Amino acid sequence: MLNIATSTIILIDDHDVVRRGLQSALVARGAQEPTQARSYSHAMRILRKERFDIAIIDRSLGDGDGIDLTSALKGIAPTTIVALLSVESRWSLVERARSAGASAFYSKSAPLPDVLDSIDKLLQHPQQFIVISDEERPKEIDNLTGAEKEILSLISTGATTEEIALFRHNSVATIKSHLTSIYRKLGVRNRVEAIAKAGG
Amino acid sequence: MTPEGSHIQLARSLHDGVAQELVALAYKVDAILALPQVEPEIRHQLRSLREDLSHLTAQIRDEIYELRDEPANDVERFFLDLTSGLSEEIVLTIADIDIPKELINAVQVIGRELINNAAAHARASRIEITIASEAESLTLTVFDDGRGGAGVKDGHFGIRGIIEVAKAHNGTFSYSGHEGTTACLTLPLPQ
Repeated sequence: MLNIATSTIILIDDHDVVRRGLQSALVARGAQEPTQARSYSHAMRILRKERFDIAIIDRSLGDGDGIDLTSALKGIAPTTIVALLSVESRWSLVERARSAGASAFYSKSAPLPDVLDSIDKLLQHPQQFIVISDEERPKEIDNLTGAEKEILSLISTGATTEEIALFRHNSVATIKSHLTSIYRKLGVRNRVEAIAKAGG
Repeated sequence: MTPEGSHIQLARSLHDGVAQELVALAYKVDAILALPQVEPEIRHQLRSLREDLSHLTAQIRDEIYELRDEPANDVERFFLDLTSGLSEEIVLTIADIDIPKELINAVQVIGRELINNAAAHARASRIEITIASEAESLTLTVFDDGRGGAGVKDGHFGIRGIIEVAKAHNGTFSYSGHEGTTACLTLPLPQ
């Protein structure tokens, strides 16, 4: 049976103390010694050569963004299960992680046994998306369509309408009409208020 | 909007420093809790310590949010307030600089005039406001993607006022109405 103990794992976090904590917890669960990377670029060097069952990635790497790394990794190794860890777990970040292909988003304050149990679950059901976070998600978000959620998470990064259109292979007019619908559903008047509402 | 003010640096150092240290401490407690030989009373106390650590991490995270959301300076706060009611998409980029006191009023008065013009006349869907600084000057640029030149016309009362204010500071004002309107105010920095 697939579980943490029988999987190959890469741990990517620029904070040595956190990586050490994760590494000992994994080994205590019977996992093989995980491969470790301390930056975005270090991780990419390894990922171009080796494949892993699981990648546990810190959202904020010193030289890059863990969510961007998730996209890059899923491009190289689509079957690797990506779990993101983050001090911040605002809704917009979680949504970006999901769009990038992550399977889980864990607040770094979540107890490690819960995180590891959840990764075991993902190995059984890789299509799931699991979030462990104590940050509330505004209830109006539930009224948005999938596309609208993704666009809202993108504007929270500061992306312009044109950039979002390019990213999603849509016309600018399509994105504008999505934005109008997002503003209406969130009860806000403009992008700044929408970002504030989404907790971006 | 990514001003690199001191509060942003403080947010970053909280995030990369004490928050990560707390996470690592909490993971250590998790490791001890996983040991089979820990006695129930001690386990109980460790659980409570673990909760306190999670709570502290969440508190620091909330402080990071507050620091990040705080406007970098009064000028940014002014433009945020000014544009908060507009239906156009607003892109505000303000360089992390101390805008000299002598220029703040001019930047705010002219900025308000240009933004009001764009919002009232241009039928724009986006207004971009940029304040940047070069070696010896400060520039305020207001771009809208509406009908080119609609809000900014020669002889328009507001524009005459803008040119007067710019001249009073030995500055210049220009605009172009190609593919939207770009209005640019350049003020020399006081020596």
